[in-house]
Amino acid sequence: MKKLIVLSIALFLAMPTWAQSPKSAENLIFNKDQVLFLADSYGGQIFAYPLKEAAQKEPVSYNVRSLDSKLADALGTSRDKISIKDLAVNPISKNAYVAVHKTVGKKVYPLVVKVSPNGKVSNFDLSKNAHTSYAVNDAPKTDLVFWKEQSLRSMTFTDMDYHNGKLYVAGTSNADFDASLRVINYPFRKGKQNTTTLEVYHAVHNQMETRSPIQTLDIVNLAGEDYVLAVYTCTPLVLFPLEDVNRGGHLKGKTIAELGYGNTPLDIKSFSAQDAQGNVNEVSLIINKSRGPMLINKTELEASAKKDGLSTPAGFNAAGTPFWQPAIGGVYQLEDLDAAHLLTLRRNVENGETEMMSYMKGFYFRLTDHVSDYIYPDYQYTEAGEMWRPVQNMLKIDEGYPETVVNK
Amino acid sequence: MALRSIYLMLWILGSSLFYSPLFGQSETLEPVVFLQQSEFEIEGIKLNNSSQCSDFQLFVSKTSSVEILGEWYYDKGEANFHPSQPLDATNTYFIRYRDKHDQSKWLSLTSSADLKAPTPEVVNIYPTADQLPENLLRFYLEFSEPMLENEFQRFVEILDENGNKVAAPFLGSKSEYWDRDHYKITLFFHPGRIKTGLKANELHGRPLKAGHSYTLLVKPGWKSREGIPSETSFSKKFSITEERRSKIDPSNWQVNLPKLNSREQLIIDFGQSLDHINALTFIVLQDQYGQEIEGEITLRESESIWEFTPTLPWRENALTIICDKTLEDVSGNNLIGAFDTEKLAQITAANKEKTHRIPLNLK
Repeated sequence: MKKLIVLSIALFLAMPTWAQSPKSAENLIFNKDQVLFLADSYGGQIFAYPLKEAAQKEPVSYNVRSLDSKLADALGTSRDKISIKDLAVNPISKNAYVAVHKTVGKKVYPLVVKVSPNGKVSNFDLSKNAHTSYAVNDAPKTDLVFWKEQSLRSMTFTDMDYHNGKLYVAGTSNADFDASLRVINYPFRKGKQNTTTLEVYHAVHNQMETRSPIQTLDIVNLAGEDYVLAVYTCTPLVLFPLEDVNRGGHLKGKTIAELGYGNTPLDIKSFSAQDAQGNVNEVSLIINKSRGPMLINKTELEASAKKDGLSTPAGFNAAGTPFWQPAIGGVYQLEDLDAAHLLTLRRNVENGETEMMSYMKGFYFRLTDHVSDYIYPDYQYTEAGEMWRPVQNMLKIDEGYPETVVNK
Repeated sequence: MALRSIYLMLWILGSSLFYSPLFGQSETLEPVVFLQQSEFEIEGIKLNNSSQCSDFQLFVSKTSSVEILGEWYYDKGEANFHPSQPLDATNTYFIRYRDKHDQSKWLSLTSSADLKAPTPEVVNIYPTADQLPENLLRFYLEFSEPMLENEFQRFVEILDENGNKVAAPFLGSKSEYWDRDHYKITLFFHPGRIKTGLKANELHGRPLKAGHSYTLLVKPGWKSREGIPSETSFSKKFSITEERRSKIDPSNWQVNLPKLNSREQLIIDFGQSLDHINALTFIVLQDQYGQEIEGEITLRESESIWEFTPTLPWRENALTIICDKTLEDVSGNNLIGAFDTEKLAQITAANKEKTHRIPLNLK
């Protein structure tokens, strides 16, 4: 009887609500129809803002330097009072949306600012823009704080993806098994969300783990089957069949790779990319806190999905699905911008500033980050190297240095 | 956090300190006002006399090329800025604008507010009389700042002549009785000990005894909502007289009439102390059309004198004092009967008229 009462209260709490604004802004994503979703970990709510921005059909590049200072200026504060939480790109307009926490006195204000490709910063009003919201019924209620800094409540939601009318939201719940994956229908409607509690084999720790949440996820289709591709701290790569996730309950994932000890993954995005030879590849790119970026071919994921998962200790080694490390260092937020570009937020190692930079897919580096023989004024391309001239010219224009183009 | 809007006059232009040496000439924008949400947060900026100036832009520094996000709007010669989220009162901000000669000018804005939240103090203890009846119902403490809840039992004591604590005089409920903004708390004496014929009264008697002197002590350390503790103790010495159990009789009131067409005070002398909140809220003045007359009420002489200063001069000769019959003195006696009267219900039924009216004629 007591359980029934608790359940009915939970149902009531899970009803969609309007005209509220978020308490925090940890995660942002867009779906294909320009709905901006904001995950508010402290408020235990997901907000949805349907936008109608004009389409940008041509490929665009972003070369925005000193974004922290720009945001601080625009928000009337200093760099130390703002913290960038997430990045999302409107798939239609290609405008970037950045979630920011701004501190004034003892209060933290969650904000979203829009950054256009030309670097112009404008406000996105979280209370005035039309929106709906959905409160989950199982947000963690403890004030548990890790390393004196990161509270458990900030991990109510860690990442989310949208697929076929459902939001898949990773994070932490108040269930016995803390790591969870919530499935929420959109448009939001009355009723309890479906929460799956998760368990994975951790090949570095050599144990089953249930607490530490998925840090980042993406929904991928491997050989006709949909999966949640999830990355955990320290760094298991895990598959959960979407069908099982939709069913709810408790789920054991298949650990297909151990990507390296001592690391927290920051973001994963799957996309198609053309390489220098013109071949189109389906890939997943993972960026990390303590390790370089990792690019995984979809064919490798498909091969791993067919095999048994890892079940033996990996020690200090990587194991399972192989990956390649592209040259996009310092990146802490990742988005699929358009057919030709990725969009990133990265930390400039010289001045500590955030830069909003696009990278050309396939190349996965920025030519203008480096001083090499190629850029000396009297450099002559060799016969064999002549093929790089048009490529480098294209990159120079894309990265905002059209004046350095060298013609024959 | 109390989100009361305080208009803070920051500085008056004319002081050369606030002008950019680059641009020299002073302007006539005065004064500049911040609409402040709390000690740390600015929710708006207002510039008076700015109708001849244009192109206002707000920046965090003169070298910044990014305007602060928000909206400028212009109204009745004022330029107003509303930021997209509160600004930080610890920062200096810069306004660039064009003056009436179309010259570009800078104005720097620094909040002069004391950025440390103020130390709270007890500013009034009611009743203010130093002789109080044995069946006193409550004390009120009024603070200079909005205060934190659930603290009063730790900080409030009543001491007798020998400095001994009076045991548990107040209603020790978990909820506290604060006004909406948390400036004033009502401390109720335990009603079971005040009312006669109840067990608590028979067992323990009244907490304060006639013929004795006491001190109400508010100890330091009581925190304001901003987390700043009070630094000094506050006390009120008083002596206790016999209980007061008689109905308030308005026929004993003396009314001093002001002169017509003046703003002289209308004064009521109750001949006894009334509960101050009752006296401030349950007595109003109406003109012959039933309209309430606007003005300010001051209480004097231990809340026994009520003084009303009208906002506008007295224009009508006929007016009426309207007094709610539940108006109480400090012991809960009202116009219907004495507090703790067994036949109160019957008396209430007999007095269907809820107000007592005193017609007046000004000359």
